[in-house]
Amino acid sequence: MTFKHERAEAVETAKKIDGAKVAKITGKVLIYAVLILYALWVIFPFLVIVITSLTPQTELEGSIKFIWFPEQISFDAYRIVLVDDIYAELLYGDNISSVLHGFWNTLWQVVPTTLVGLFVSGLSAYAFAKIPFRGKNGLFLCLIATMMIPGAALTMPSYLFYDAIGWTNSVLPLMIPALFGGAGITFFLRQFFMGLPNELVEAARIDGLNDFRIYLQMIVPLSAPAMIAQGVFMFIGGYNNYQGALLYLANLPELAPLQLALSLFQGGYGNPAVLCAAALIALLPLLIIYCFLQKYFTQGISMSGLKA
Amino acid sequence: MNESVEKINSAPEAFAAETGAPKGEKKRFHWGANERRALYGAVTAAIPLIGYLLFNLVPLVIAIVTMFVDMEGYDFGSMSWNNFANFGEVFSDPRFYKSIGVSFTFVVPHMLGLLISLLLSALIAQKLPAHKFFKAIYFVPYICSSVAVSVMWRWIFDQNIGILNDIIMRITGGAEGPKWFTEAGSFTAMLITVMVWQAPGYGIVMFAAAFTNVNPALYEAAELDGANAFRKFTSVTLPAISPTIFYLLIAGLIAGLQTFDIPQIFAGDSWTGAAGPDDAALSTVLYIYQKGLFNSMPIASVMSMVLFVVIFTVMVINFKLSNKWVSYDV
Repeated sequence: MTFKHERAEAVETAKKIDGAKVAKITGKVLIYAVLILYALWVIFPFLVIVITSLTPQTELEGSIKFIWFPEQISFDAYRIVLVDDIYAELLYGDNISSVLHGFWNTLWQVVPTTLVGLFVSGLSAYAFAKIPFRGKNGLFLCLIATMMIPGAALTMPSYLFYDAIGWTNSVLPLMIPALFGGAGITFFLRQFFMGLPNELVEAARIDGLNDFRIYLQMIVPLSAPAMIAQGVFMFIGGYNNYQGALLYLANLPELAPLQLALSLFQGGYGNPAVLCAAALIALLPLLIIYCFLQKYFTQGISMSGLKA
Repeated sequence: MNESVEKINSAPEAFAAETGAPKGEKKRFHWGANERRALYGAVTAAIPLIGYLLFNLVPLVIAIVTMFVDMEGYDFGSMSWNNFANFGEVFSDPRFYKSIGVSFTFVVPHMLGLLISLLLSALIAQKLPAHKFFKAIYFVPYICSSVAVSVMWRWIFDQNIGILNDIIMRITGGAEGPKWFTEAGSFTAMLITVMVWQAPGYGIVMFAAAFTNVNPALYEAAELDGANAFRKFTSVTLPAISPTIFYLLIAGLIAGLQTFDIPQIFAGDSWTGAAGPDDAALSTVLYIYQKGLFNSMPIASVMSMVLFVVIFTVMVINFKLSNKWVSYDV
């Protein structure tokens, strides 16, 4: 009896739901369907390489089609990438794998240049934002104009230039120019610093601080989130840089940063499991950083893009 | 000190323009605190530009000079005027024209990425539960390196034991799938797919910021006028975010025309020098790289300058057209 009663009630409420509400719910279902489908498309390649990286080589060798579900799970591929790289002895004269060498090279080549480049860009941005000097507008226009020049058109001419000054086959072309800061980051930080009150700077000057110390002790801490966002962005660029490393370090595997090391590594191995494991390991650090610093990743983009 | 501070606050430009020693100073070349400050400002402000001059403009000048000469290797001593022969060689090279076409083909994934990111961010902007989670996921391909991405997708597209051909054969029931690596059309489709996978993340973040900046009063006004959801999107949202669309359009065009990494990793290391079947992966930048490193730097310089002009022309056309559809008044 209660069942019948409930059912009658349900029919009643169903009648109450008008067309608009139904449309709203179907709309929501459709939105979620699209969002979920696209998320699957994004995740799909990661799933594929996770599966293959865990497939034992014995299964892969005999197979004539893709193995969706390996009969056994093997971590051999990860062991080869991280520990038992057979080319390590040949390339580096030690037992540390190519990918780990690549990690270390990326770290010492990218982190210091990112930090210095960020600091110098901020120094320049502070001068543009807070210090009056003659010719400032002209200088700023020149800086903006450099952003209009497509970098790819200058790649090979730069190579010729670095060859003339003896910098090819060294890390110098990858590190030294970055120390001078970048136009885009300077531009963005200038916009940000202009939003900080001038009274702050003047008060500090009355207290006897010079501009460098004002920048260092007040501006940098105050704009830490903005600077971290830009720094993260620079770091991604450096971490993923392939073309520069290919140009200047292709003959020097001992100096090869991660992306070049990975591309050299994949040339040496035919085993798909090893290649998939190597790609996954190379992606992992940025993905982990992304999980923790997500807001800085996206802030760096959304803040810099459209303040122009 | 206080007086000078007031002066700066009241009229910084005029104050900065003032020269000479402060009142009461007799020494002619004495540098006051404000001059020193201006010098410090000018010098620190100029550092990024100095870096650019040294490492980009000097090469640019060298490139312009080398366009007109013959040269052995990278030896500047061997330069000799060759009466525009380099231009003749570049403009009669069918592979160069082919490479320009390929570069424009690689603009396609960026334009598709723009459409996808517009659609997805419009859905994310509905702020349904978990919308931030989806946004976070969609951004991931953007931070993945092109080398790792290429390794992943080469395995997916593997002609014999890749997952994609397995799926295709299961659906069609055929004995074999498309020959992704040996047929030009399939090869291009493969590269475009990889780039489309990577492209939208950037746009989604940009659009998400743009959507939140749309003035809510405009939506209320549109509702009062009886506009439905679709009408609100086309008449309010689209004009309001048109500067973002324009920015992404330009950025996508430039990125597409400068494509290098993915074609290089997929096809750059062949012994024959061809970039994929029928040069399907020969982007202009890849061709410039191959010419400059293995063949002739002057030819690479001419190609670089032509690419420069092409990109610049495309940008100028876009800026001219933008007056017609981009609105900056919000």
